[in-house]
Amino acid sequence: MENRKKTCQIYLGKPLIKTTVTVRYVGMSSVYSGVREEQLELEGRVTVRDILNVISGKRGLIFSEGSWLVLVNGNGVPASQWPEYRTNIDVELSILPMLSGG
Amino acid sequence: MYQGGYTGILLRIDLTNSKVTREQVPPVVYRKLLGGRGVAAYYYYREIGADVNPTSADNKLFFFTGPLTGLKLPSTTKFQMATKSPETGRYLCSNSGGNLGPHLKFCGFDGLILEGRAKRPTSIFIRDGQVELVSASEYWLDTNFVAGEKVRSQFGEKKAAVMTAGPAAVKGANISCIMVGDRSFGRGGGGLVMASKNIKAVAAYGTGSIPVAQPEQLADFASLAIKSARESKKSHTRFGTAQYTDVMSELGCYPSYNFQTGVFDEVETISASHMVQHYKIKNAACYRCPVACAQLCEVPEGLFRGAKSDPEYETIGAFGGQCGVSDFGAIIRANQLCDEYGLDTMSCGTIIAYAMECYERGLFTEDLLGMKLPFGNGEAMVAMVRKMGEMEGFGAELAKGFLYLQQKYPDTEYFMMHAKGMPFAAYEPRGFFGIGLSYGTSSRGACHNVGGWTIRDELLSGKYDRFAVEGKGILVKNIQDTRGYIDCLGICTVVRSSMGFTDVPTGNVLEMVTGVDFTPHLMEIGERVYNLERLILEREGITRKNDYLPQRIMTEPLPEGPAQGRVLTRELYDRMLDEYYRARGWDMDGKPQKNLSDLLGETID
Repeated sequence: MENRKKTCQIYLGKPLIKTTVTVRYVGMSSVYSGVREEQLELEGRVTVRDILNVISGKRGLIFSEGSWLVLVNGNGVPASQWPEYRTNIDVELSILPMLSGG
Repeated sequence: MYQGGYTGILLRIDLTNSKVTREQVPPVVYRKLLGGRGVAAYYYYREIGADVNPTSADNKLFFFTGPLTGLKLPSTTKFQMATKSPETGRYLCSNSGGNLGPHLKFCGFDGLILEGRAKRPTSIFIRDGQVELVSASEYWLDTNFVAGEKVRSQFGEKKAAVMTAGPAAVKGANISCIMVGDRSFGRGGGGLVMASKNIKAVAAYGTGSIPVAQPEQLADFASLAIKSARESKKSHTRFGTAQYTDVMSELGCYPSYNFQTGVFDEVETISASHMVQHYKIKNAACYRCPVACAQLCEVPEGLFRGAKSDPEYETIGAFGGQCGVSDFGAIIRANQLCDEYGLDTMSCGTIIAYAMECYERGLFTEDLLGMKLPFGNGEAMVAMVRKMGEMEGFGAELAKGFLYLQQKYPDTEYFMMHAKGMPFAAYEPRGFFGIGLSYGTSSRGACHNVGGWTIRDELLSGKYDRFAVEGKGILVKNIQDTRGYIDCLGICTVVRSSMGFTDVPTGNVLEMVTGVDFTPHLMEIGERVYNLERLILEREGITRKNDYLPQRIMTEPLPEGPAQGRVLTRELYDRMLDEYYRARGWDMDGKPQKNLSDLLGETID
């Protein structure tokens, strides 16, 4: 965690916050995305939905109810909460296959 | 009363007297318990006393289909079995895919009860309505697949559905399964019960059809349900249940090294993507399944070159993480041997993991085991599976299961990961507290299916913290009741939501089939099944004290990963258990407050 920089710059008198997201693609999400892990930087405090939109554009994954399981710092976030759930500025987001029974 | 779905007839075979009878199943039993697991439990309750020895002639095997078994709907493959388990010494329910359940229905029977003991090795042939008992002496000790081919040849029909007891069962393994083609009644030792009756195989081939109440509506519904199942379960088709392997390790919930940790450091080489890339040959499907989740694999090179099998998540968990084995070829081979000998892969792998830990801690010596058995050694693991299948050396000890080992080697009890004698599944209770309660209260001993697979709700519903206890009692009850009615239907749980079978059941497929609208009553039926099973267990001596988990889970914190430091203490577990009993309406000793008449009505004694 130490090497992930939290940045807060002064820009035109307003604080510009950047959110650093470490995205981990687990299981078949790594197959579809073609990577296992990457870092993203987004401007401002962002929601889970904002992060997923960036991943969609970059990796072609489609995020809808029942599509992928999303964890933020190890805790599941239901799809209904993606639009409102604001992350910290340094966050680990994992994308896993949807669980549907053992 | 019913316009379709049921034949209304069960076939009872008294093996001691070679007597075959056909009985009517009371319609009220279907109304109250639907089919499958519920009806099998009903007959078990009436016919198997608490003092019946699992391998005596007094034990029976109850096989029951559900109203959807064999119909032209997605994955109508399932039928259920109940018996007294040699592994746990108590009531056992188990389900299997394959095509024997459907063929039983095509032959005109909803169920099959085997009782007594044949005088010599015997196979049972069911051809439409006709039943024949034939000699099985020629293939009595043969492995499952070899015997299966000989049975089909003897039967004279290549497409006959066959279930067999393997050589492990014939030689007395308490953890032996019944193989149904390449699927199985895996858990609890049903294979040994079958072999103890001198039955090697049951083969069925039916040409009849199953009536349905609304055939045109059902056909329209079926095409939508098939499409929905195929679309929603694409990942199952591509990766099978193995897709959860690295997910569970990521969550710190993948039991490894005999539950010493929840993270498997070499999970990459036993993951589904690795399996598909390096070992998968093709998909395999159960009867009428549009998903085909089974992943047939072959080892291309190395020590286990040529080994072939279709390992599921649980099997990979037992032989992979649990035994610390990262060689996927060894897992494929161990799975293949289990299928051939007829061993439950989950019990087999978990018990070998226990033996590995005992070996590493010096409790079991090389002399005792007949080999070195360290964690991570795939070759040794496979060799031990073979010994267990052959009931040879210390393998014969391990194949008798944890209850036997507890008596014989009491100093090693701490390392036995089981509930009520049934080895744990591949989910770590300290990583998901609800799973702990599922294992503890499952009516067949530790089981994530019958006990309730809570992980999705604990992780994703937004209602629960997976390490919290509040609400878990109600959650587990709800999932158990859902599973309870699904196990009565005759379909696979993988496709159930495509037909509206969730914890809030919707749709009217059962009305299209039977003419009766069961849908509003399904959760009630599931709850009734669970209460009936608890009545059986109570009669067999189960109380609150049996609903706890091994000491390791309740005292030893997980050492690493996202669940690091977590432990499901007695105090936390008691809070969940109290809530669970209250939700069920049982007293605080886990005793149901209803009897069979309360559950089924006064028309049933």
